Amino acid sequence: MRKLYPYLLLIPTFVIIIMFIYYPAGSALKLSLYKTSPFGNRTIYVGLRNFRQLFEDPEYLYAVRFTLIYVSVSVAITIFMSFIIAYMLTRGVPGTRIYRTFLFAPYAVSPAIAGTLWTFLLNPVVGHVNYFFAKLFGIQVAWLTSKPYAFYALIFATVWKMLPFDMIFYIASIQDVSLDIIEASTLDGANTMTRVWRIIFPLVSPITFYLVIMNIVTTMFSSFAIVDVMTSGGPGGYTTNMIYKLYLDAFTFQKRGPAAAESMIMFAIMLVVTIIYFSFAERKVHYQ
Amino acid sequence: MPAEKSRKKLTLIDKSISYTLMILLAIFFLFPLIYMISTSLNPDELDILKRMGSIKAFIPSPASLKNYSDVFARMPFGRFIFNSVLIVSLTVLAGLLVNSMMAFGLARFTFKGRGLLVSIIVALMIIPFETIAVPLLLMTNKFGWLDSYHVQIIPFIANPFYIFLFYQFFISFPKALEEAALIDGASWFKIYWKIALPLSKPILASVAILHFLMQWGFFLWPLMVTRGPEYRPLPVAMQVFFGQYPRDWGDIMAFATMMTAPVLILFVVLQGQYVKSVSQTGIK
Repeated sequence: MRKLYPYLLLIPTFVIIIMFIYYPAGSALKLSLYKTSPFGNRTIYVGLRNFRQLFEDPEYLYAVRFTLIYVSVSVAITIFMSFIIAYMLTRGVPGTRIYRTFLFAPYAVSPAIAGTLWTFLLNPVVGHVNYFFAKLFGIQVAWLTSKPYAFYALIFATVWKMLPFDMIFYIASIQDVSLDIIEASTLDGANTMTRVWRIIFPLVSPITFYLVIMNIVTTMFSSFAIVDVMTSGGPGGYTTNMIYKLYLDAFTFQKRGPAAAESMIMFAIMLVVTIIYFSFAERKVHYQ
Repeated sequence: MPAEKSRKKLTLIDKSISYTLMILLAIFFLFPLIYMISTSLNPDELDILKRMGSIKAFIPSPASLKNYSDVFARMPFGRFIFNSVLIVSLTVLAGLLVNSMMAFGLARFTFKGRGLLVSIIVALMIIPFETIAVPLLLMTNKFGWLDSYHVQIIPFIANPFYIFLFYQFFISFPKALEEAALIDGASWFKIYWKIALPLSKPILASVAILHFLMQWGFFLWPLMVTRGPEYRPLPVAMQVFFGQYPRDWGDIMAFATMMTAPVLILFVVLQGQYVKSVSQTGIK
């Protein structure tokens, strides 16, 4: 009985995971090797043809390139900004506690609503953002329907939504950096900039690494709702990233085989990201 | 002495920079939300559009709750709220239980196949929903589950990522903890329930927030598996407003406010625990 006990704790959860996550993932893998015939529901084994076709499809290659740019730009901006803000908020300026709660608010807004709000604010005719832009720079921009502004708009909304999460983590970890180190560096005559980038930033590098990974996941996958609401992948496919393309192929065009192949490519990317994360985390343990 | 002086001066400059930056950031982060609320209180559609280009859009006057009653008149809003609350709370509560239970088993027992199981969970920690949506739809359809509550609950209870977060937390407990309890004759389940869980408040809060946010905004799956208002949650219901022209922005913002407010309140309540868990889960 004692020996069976661990299994009793594990089995219920594991069964659910297998049924509703691993099994569908396996079916997606199988589906990626098949082609559905145009008539009826016969499926034909085609090997890696779905994958080969994807890599020859200029639209897909564009989506991959766009994803790469979108992910790296929004993650870089978010990490940089959130670190700076977190640093400011840990300087002991009065009022930061309540302020922190406020800044956290966008994180609690669901992606579809975030997209809706920004769509409204970026409205080219009556939107607020354009009002300020016209006042400040004298330009009027169709944010969501023209190149390259649709891309900027997406970055804008993504950073707005993602930054609070990173900021909270940075605040917690900067507060953990011992005050002695900061004091010592002040006495050494290090100026603020040096102190921040040469001393504090490296000390919180494990959290930075964790956040970069989390942000990559968010921008790769959760960006779906924001893209859908704000640009629908437009104008003319300009802001179609990998997840949105997957959605279009799977649901709008009903191309099951290619869509499953796209899923597999995303799995593979995520697996690589996870492995990189853990080999880094392991090294951190040795380091301590 | 001069060094002392320059340090003081620096902090003063630092402070004023901090405050200026904080105010600018507050504007950037909060104005969409303030805007959402003030627009939701403006009953006049034309006036909403007229005010958009000016600072007046942020001042809700004359304030009225007309848009809110409009939302209730145009759709069974109460039903949608009920659906969302029911689905999300059941998913999150059941999720907290099963995910922490499995993590506890993995972290505190030695048994055959443990290492393998942990590596499977960790390696496949992140499987984005969109990639398994189609097979999952085919499967649940075969079960005859479409258009129900459970089709929106059961597949989303267990989650490898949350198991991993719990696992990291439980593995840091000292061995002595359960040894003492075992000598006292407590069963494993009792140790999990009476000792491990009460010590896990920060991680429970943190997983609850993550899970809640994900489920509350969940859009694609409910859209795929529900047909009518009976089982539909809030995010899908919002679509109704976008299908009609001209769009009634007052109503949309009233809807968005009502959908966001409960989450914000929950957040403010749990925030302290959440921050604490960040420095305790080992991801530092």
